[in-house]
Amino acid sequence: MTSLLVAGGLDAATYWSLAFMIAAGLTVVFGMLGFLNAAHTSFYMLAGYVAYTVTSITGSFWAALAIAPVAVAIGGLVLERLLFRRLYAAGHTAQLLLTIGLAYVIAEATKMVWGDSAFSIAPPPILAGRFSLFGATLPVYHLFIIAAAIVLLGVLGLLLRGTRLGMLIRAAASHPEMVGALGFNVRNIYTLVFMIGLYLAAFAGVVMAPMEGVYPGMADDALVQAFIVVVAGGLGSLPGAFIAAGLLGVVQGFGNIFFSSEAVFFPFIVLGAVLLFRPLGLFGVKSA
Amino acid sequence: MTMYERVLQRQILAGGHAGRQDKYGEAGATLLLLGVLAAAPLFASRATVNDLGQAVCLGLFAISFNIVFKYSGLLSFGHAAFFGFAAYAEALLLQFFGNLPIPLLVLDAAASTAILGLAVGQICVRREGAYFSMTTLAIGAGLYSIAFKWSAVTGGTDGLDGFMPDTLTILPGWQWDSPGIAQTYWLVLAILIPSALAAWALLELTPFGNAVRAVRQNEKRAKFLGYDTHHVKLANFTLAAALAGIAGALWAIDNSFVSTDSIDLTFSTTVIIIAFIGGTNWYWGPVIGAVVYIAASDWLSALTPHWQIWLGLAFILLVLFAPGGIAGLVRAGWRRANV
Amino acid sequence: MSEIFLLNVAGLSKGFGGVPVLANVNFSLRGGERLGLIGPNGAGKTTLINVITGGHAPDSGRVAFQGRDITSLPPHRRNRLGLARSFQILSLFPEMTVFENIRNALLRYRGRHVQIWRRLSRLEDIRAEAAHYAALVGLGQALDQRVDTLPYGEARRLDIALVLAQQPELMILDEPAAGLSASETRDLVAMLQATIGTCALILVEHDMDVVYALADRIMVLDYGSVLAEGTPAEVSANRQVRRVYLGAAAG
Repeated sequence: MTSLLVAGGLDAATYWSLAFMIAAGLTVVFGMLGFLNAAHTSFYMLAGYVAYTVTSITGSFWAALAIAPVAVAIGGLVLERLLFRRLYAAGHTAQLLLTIGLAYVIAEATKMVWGDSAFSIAPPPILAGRFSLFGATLPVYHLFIIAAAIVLLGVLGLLLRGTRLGMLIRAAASHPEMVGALGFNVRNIYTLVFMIGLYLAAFAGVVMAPMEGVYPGMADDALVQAFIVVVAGGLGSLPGAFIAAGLLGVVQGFGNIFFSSEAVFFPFIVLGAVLLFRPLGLFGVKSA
Repeated sequence: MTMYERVLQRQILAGGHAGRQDKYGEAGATLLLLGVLAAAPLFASRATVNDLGQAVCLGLFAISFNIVFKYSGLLSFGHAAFFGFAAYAEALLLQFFGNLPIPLLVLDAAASTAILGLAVGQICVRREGAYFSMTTLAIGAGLYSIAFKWSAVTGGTDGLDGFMPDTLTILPGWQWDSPGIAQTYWLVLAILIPSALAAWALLELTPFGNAVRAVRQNEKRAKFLGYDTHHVKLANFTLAAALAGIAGALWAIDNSFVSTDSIDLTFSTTVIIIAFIGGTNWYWGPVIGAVVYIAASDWLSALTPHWQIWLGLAFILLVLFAPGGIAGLVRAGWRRANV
Repeated sequence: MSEIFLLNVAGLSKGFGGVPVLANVNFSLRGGERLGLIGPNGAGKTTLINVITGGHAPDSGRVAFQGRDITSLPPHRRNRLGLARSFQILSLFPEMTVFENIRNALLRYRGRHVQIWRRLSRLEDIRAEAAHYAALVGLGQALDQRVDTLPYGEARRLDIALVLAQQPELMILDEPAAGLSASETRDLVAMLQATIGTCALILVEHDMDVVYALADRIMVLDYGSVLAEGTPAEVSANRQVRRVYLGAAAG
């Protein structure tokens, strides 16, 4: 029993990390820019596929991890300049319509480039093994995911709290006019935040690939997850996303172990339960 | 507001009062559309009629999506749940009973999907715009998961087929042996057109429809005038779900095949694309979109297996520059011609 | 001595994000009474209206209407009990005509607003009634004009028509003369004097001429508390009120 709990616990932490990395960008961009990006997880998917190509060419997972998220984030930057910028003031209807259309196009484009099939990436040899803990045999790779998430978020946290740039970002989040009045280019700060969000999602996409592979429907599946996390946590709330991702992680991690076939429905039950008691999500606020 | 935002507002969300010219134009266009659809088996090839059968089912589905969008201002991202649910339900009933009167199947689809719509709507409709869309997406995905997981019953991604009997029962005692394509098509139309017209009448001619439209225009004022706006929106959503259910049932009957392709997120996105390409301002606009979609899947797919990208790109461009869709462009042309 | 007031507000407090806006407001209104609610900007007048009509929930306190506790009732239920309000910032149905706007109010008042078995275009009695209310507010000729093309002054009058059409027990008008010219304001006052009848009234206004013309009683709100209450003469003589609101020049 202990071994099952430990395995479940590790899985929970792993899913928590991934869900949070994917949803963080989505909710922060909504909170800061009022921009709802239904194409957010398309970047997650693209990063996975790009990572597949990079590992096929170079044989190195680390190369993929270094290159793919950056490449995808840059692609996102181009899209932000060209398309998303115009939508910030256009209202959620237009944003949802256009980004869902974009997600559709990206999904088809992915199939065009890589075909209809699913691929897997082998984890790097160092991380490929298993280890034992309290009677459970657990993949080392999962530890890596959790560690990577902690490091990434730690770096981000340091950035936000400990640097001048981070201070600017936090200020721009709550008082954009003031920051603008002080002479800073708020647009660029927003773009930077957008990129960070995309990078996190893309990173999750690469890191997820050795675990669950890359397949054409992964943007849709991840979008559902991301929306569940964001709605349950409260649109725009990063702490909410953190906790909601945790709930989801726990429910999926332990669910998969104890109820493997029904576990698929648990995220929806979590969403339903949260919305029942907090209709706007855990930390949601009524927008003006 | 930028020029783009003004255009978007006016074209997508303005429904309102058409001038007299507009009304005649619309009535004429509706008659033309329905007339061409009804007469199609007389002059079109069997393959085309087959395609049109699919297109009208998709068109009704897209109309039902638009009922939620145009009349309540809400973007439903999980609408395929209703279509797919009904398609599966009727397919399974036919599998189980072997043969059932078609009208009964359609009635069952409308009623049971309405109940589903009521339940889903009760959860989702309370929320504003973005929350509504995201919650409908999540619920739609949940229903997809059920269809996917319960493959013993639903056939999973392989789907269900062969459930259509060779003899169609219209009424107990009135049967059609091995109906031809034209017959089946006319049967579908005979159910589809009155259903769509009934919904139209409810929304445009009755006090209930007036309430729905008033709530969309100014929910706050409606509340303070005593309208229970939640229930008004919920009723509209339920109506839309019922219509989507009829579309799904007709699809199962016409297509003889149901799979998770009819209930997944991609399909929910497809119906949004179809509705907007056709035009959300005209009640029958989404049917145009469905015809375009089916035509594209035939002709464009000969050119490239990835014709859906072009459709998606067309959708994006339309939403950016001509949010009224094809119907909107035609209407703009008609207005200019009449000035 | 136990008299059921039409409206009873007791111990009402409300704050937004830690900032108190209403502090322990108490007052009552009898049927047919006309109360003017005045106070400096930010005094909490509109918040008080919102709490009474159901737009906000109070942090504490009670609102009772015709003896019945309505503190937790949603706006549409309060309206159905006979409480109608207008809005300081115009809130009409922009894509509908004057007639259709009034019809929206009428249909709900007559309980026919969600019927599915009647045709809108055949409701002759509603059309006649709507025309009546339009004429009452001087919009008889503009019945088929779209509201988003109406001049501001006419739109304000339509706002009143929507309130009148529901024949409420209590009318709450939130700055009905806002943005109107002097002559438009005079016309508005005359129109209101002619149409209010036995309906009770709470009138929020900055224009003191309007308040004096229409109100039997005046209540002065300042920083969320009732500063003074009484007849117009009493209130305008009140030193505190004069200092705070009516301007030292009145002294």
